[in-house]
Amino acid sequence: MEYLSSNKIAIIDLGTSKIVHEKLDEDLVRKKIGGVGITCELYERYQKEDPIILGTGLLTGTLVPASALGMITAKNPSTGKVCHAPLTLYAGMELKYSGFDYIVIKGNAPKPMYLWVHDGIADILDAKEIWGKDVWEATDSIRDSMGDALIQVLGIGKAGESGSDFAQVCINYWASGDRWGFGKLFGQKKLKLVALRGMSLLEIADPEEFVRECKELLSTIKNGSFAGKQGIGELSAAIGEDIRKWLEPIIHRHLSCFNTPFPTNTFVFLDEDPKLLKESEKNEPGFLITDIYGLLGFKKLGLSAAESSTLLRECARVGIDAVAIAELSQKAGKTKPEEIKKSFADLKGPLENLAKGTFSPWASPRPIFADFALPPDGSQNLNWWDRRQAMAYIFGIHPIFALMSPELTEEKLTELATIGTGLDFTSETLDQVVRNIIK
Amino acid sequence: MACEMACGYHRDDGFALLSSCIMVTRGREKKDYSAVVVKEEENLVIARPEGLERRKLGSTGESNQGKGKEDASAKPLLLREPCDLCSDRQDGPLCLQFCPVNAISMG
Amino acid sequence: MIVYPSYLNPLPFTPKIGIYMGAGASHSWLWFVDLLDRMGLDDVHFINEREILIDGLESVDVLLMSGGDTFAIAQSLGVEGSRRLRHFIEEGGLYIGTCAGAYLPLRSSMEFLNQFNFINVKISNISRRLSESERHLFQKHACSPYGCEFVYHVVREDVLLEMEEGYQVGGKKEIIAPLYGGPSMLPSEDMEVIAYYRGFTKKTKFLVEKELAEKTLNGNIAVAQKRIGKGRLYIFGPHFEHPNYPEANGIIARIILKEGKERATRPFDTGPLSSKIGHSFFEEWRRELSHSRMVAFGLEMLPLQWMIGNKWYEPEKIRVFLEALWRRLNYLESGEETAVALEDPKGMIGRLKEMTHLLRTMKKECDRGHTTDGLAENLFLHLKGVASDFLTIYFRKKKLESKLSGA
Repeated sequence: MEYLSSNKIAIIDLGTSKIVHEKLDEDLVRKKIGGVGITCELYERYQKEDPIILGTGLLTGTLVPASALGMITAKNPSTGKVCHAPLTLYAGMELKYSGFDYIVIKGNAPKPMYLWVHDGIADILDAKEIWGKDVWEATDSIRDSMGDALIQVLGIGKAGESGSDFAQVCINYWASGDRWGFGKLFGQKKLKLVALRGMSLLEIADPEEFVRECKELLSTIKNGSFAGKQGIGELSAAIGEDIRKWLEPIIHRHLSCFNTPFPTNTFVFLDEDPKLLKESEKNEPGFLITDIYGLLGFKKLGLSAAESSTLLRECARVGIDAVAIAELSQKAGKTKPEEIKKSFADLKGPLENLAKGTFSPWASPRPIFADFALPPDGSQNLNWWDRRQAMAYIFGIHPIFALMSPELTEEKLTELATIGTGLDFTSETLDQVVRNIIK
Repeated sequence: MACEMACGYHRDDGFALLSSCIMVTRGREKKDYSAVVVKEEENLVIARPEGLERRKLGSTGESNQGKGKEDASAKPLLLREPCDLCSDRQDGPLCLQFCPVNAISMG
Repeated sequence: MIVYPSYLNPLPFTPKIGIYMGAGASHSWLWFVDLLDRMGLDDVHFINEREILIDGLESVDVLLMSGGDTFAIAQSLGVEGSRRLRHFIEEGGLYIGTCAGAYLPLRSSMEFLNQFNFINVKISNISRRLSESERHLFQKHACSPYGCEFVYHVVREDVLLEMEEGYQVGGKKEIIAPLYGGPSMLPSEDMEVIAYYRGFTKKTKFLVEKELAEKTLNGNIAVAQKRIGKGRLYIFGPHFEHPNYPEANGIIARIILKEGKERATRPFDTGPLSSKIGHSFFEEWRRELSHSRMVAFGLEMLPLQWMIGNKWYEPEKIRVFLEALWRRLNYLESGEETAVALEDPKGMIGRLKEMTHLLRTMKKECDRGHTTDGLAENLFLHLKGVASDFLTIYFRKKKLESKLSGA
């Protein structure tokens, strides 16, 4: 696979420490396009070995607007169903440039290990120094020892190490869209984290045409219904749970994932003046809120914005799904931050709002800001949402942004895929791939 | 970072960050602090949230001897070429066109 | 594929080419590497000052000396190095010096440089030739100390040159080449002129008023040569080896292929042959180069610079070396195991890991706000050593494959 690709799949066996590199077959891309189209295929190939597949969309890491998405495909430990969790911020992009389009992780390590994936090399390394550390400490440790603060870390904390059903794979220091408990899978494999870094170059089949199309698409998108809005607060208003005033006093800044026109994340300062512009002298002055539902969950317990965000930070350190913690805390009658924090290990399921679908419910179940011309009775919402998420996860588009930008059509993304790779993709191919994924 | 990617494309005809003359420093993630650095012909322009700094390349700034003294015999590095505002492109700087959040403008 | 001007007739032998990368050498010697690579020449060796002092020049036919710190080069070679260099040329060797490599053999009374004086030529870009007001102009910038005088520089980037007959490409008199501090020479009977400075282009960057630049350069000598014994000395003010100037590159290619004589008296010391080196060896190179590159990339985001010797170094310069190796890595990784003779493969990997360690230490110290000048000096020494290790393997593999393919 020559274009928009590293042309490599890593097959990593944690049990035997064997690593095999395979070429990404162009025929596979023709048939399955990319992203979850291919991660599902790889999952089926290796399913007897209980794999975790890391992947990227076909357009991830390019100048296509919102091309930030990578994904984890694995079996939901609670439901046994194959599901996909989003890798956003800069993790998806970094995976694309790490020298591998896909990584298959199978088997269980005999002792705690971590994967270091960089520039076409995948190494299995001893995690004895970081096993037992929380997510933040582990990320800091990897970045310090490698001398690079741009390394993207997909890691687990104590929750994953101890086999919690709600263990989450976090991205660097922050919560991810993993609602499936994939952190538990990591822990079962004694895989502490996957560190990603790469400085490759992606070739493009028709560079000028591709970039021109991206530019035109971006111009169209920028004037969309999200224009002038930013951050978690606006997202909350869009889904009918307006927390803007509640959150406003602690907001420092809103942040976008790679190349994404709408900043879906909000950084709040908890131990620092939110209005501070220069670099804080405190090492950890706040938290990046990446998951609206976690925040809303804690708000429902009557907590303040600062208390809720502090709890979110604790969840991210431990590597546990804040949505689950909020729900279970409510069930258990716990409403004080300290008692909630102390009960992380003790809170047990089942969740009433257990996610059952294929794609993470981290992305809201309906359009955001935009009008996708759906019937007002909501009858088509689920079908529409599944299809929209499938499209996002195949091409590598931010799943939340996909819900706010009707301009990102399947036709346009298929066309860009054709121009960028030189392979002829059709709407029929996309239909087939989507059907296979959401069957 | 789309600006870096766009500039990298301008230099390399592919997607990479190796040669771009605009860089977003992302190393202070926990502090939510970053800057945009642009390499000009003679200067490094550092746009921080609190203000702009222009530092002459080949000088150490205020406190060292030989301040402002440039090395005319320095060989070009041919890695990150100084910003030329995409002078060979009709529509002007690519970083500006591709910033998804309109953070870059030209005065 | 050999890439050099078609009007050149290939020599009946492949010249053994030494590239100086020792003390005082900047990074522009990598431009010579790229040039020779494009020319398809693969008998390339990397020589430092220690090797010159112990007969290293006896193993090469051509010595290429690029830019850097002339004083540092002269000091490190010393009287003995000067003697060996002269002997090399007298016994048929071809010396090509650009910029610092051009200043080195010129007439000088300055300490260290006065050990050379291979060619009785004065330079025009020295302060004693300036008026009082002109001297004052240079006090603040664009000059290098030269005893109680200074060498000054009037332009950077493109200069227009007029080539003498015999060196014109396709009948074209004018050629463009870049100038970065190289000499402008006054006429002398002790040399044969190859090119004159004639003017400037739109890309020329003036460091002074155009009038003074014209007065300093135009009509003076940019490139010259001298016969010494059985060999020749070529001096280039501008960097004819710069990769973006193919016409200028062609001139150097022509000189190497026309003037290079088979004079090496012994093979380059390869030591005992190592066993076949294969994928795991190059995987180790990829691993450590990847580690080093990512740390170096991070350093480029910091407003750092280091003064090493008399030259400024920026973080970007680290990756100049690393990228020169990285882009050749795929070639080394391709194909079967190679019986490339390596003296000390384990030592190479050791130096490579040490380089990564140095970079990581520097990064930590920078993050703590500590000065890193000492580390930087050590690092750049290491970089040169690692680069020469790698490029040695690269050219040996190329040479081996040429032999096997009968090229």
